[in-house]
Amino acid sequence: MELIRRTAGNGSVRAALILLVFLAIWARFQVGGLNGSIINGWLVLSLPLATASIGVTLVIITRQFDLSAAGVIALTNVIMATSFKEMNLWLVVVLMLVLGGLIGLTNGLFVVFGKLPAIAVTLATLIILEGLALILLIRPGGSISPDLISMVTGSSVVPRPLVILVLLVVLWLIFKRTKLGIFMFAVGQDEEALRLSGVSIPKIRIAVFTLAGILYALAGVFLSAAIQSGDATIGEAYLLQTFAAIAIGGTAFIGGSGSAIGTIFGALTITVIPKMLFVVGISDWSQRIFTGVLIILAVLVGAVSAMRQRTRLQARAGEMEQTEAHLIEQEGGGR
Amino acid sequence: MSADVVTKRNPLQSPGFIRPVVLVALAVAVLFVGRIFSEGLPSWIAVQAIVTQSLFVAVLAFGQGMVMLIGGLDLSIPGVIAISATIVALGTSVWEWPTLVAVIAALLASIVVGLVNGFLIARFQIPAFIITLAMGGILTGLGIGLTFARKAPAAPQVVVDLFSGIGKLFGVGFPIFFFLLVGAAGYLIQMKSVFGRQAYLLGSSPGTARISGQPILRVEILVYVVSALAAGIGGIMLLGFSGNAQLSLGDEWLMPAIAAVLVGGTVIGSGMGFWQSTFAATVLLTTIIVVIQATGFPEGVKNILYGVIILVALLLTRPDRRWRLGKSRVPQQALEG
Repeated sequence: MELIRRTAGNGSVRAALILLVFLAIWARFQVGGLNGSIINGWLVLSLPLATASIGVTLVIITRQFDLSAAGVIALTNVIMATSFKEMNLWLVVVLMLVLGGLIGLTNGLFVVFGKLPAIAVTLATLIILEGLALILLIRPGGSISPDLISMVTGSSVVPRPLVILVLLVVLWLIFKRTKLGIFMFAVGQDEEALRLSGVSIPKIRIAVFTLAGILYALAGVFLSAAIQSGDATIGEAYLLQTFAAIAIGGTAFIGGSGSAIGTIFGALTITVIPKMLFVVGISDWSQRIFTGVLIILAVLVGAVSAMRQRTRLQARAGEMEQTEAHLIEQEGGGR
Repeated sequence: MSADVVTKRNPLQSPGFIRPVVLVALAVAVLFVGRIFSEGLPSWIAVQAIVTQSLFVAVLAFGQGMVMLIGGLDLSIPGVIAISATIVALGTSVWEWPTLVAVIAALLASIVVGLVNGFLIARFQIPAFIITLAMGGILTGLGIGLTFARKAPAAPQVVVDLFSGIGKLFGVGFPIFFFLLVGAAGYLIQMKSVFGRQAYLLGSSPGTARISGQPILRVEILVYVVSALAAGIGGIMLLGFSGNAQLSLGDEWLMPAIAAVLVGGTVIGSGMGFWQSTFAATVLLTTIIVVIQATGFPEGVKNILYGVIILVALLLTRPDRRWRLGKSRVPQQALEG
């Protein structure tokens, strides 16, 4: 019983269950069933969203917010579609990741040293980046290197996006256990305790913002391969979708906990919704309503369980205080 | 801060007076600088265009400002604008409702959105921007559903006359009167009403508000209702301005409203800020945009400008500007206490 409750309470497991249900519906109603290329197409679309959402997840674990993902994605996509054609592909990708890292670093510096609300700073970054993307490429167009496309979207034995997703999971499991990974959770849980134990909070926050920026740029690279052209407004959908993926993935928005694995399931769920609703015969506009309601429900479930946990902790703290008072009383009596 | 409150000061020296004056003076200066880019710039036509656009920003900034005062952010505003404009336009042109009925229906719908937003955010302590973002998506979906397979429905003539700037009273466009009306109404609600004061208290010190027996849940929900209602009204105005109810009607007005609140000096979640400065900031921002448009810069420049303005405003209005010195001030005080 306890096991069932704990499993259902685990955000990643909940997200995986939702995904399984949607996948089953999709598979049931898809004419001719699901084949390799359909699945690969779905995974190719999910990969950029999952990557970007993992970046936002990291920031949320530190009890901050980041709205700039959509901007970084748009800018990297437009740059890749229009510039550096003659340069080595790997070098371009590295350059994009450096750019993303610098943007994340800027966010972090503003938030940490300016002591500014992250939500306002990253909102400003978001529209600045969208503006830059729009200046670089006013109408959708440009082209993406075929090498990159086949590298990201190819499917030899196993779909390439699946390989990359598994790689991301492995990296996450390693990162969680590094010093930065542990401190990242600690900052979100109890910043004051971490500060008192002599850890530099600003360094951790800035590092996490930077890492998130790199992930957004990587998402931009993946997205470029997926849509095979440039579009300055492509990022817009990602503002809502990243947070949707995180909410469904079970990461609490109060910080201190969360999982990239849950977020990946969340991202897969978000991209499977339109496909599932389409084969069932539900129109585009209902999809938006469906997604919106699902996000609210997911956040609601997370918030309610967080509130319950808090009252439970408070009750326990109250008990402990009582015991302590009792002990002190006894001591006083002894003297 | 407490010294400011206790000592009686000349009202002309309070930031609530100086800031708006400085902001409007800046706007006038920008307008004259605009002459460098465009020959016909400091003109009555330009001023009318600026005030008309400021009206829309001001209406939205009022609601957004109340939300930001208590530490939230309302990203459902474009969705509310779209749904409100769609209801009015569809109601009058397709369902043949009287205009007044359509307007009331749109405002009621906005209130419902605000109630849902506010309830979810206040009751379950969920970050406001996530709920409002999701709500925006839902509303856009509803908007597409309502106008399904139709052209964007046209605005009723009355609304066009009132808000496009064509209709005039004593030779002055209606929007200018509405602009002053919004300024006065906003001042009375935010600065003078009991609800306004409760919102300030909730923003500056939620704990105090709770202990002193304020109905904090109700106040917080009401703040989101006010924001949604303001966006609903803004949607009707923008419908009149643009002539038909496109679903993207509100998209480009979210950022100016947020920027106006921040430039006006409201600090998110601090209970610090003055409506009159936000109101003046709408004029400054609109002036900058009108001048930029006159220079013929590419579309993206506007976005970049809003972003930079927001960042600069954030840095200038930072509540604790002595951050270098005050690293561990709060915990130390707690220890001493």
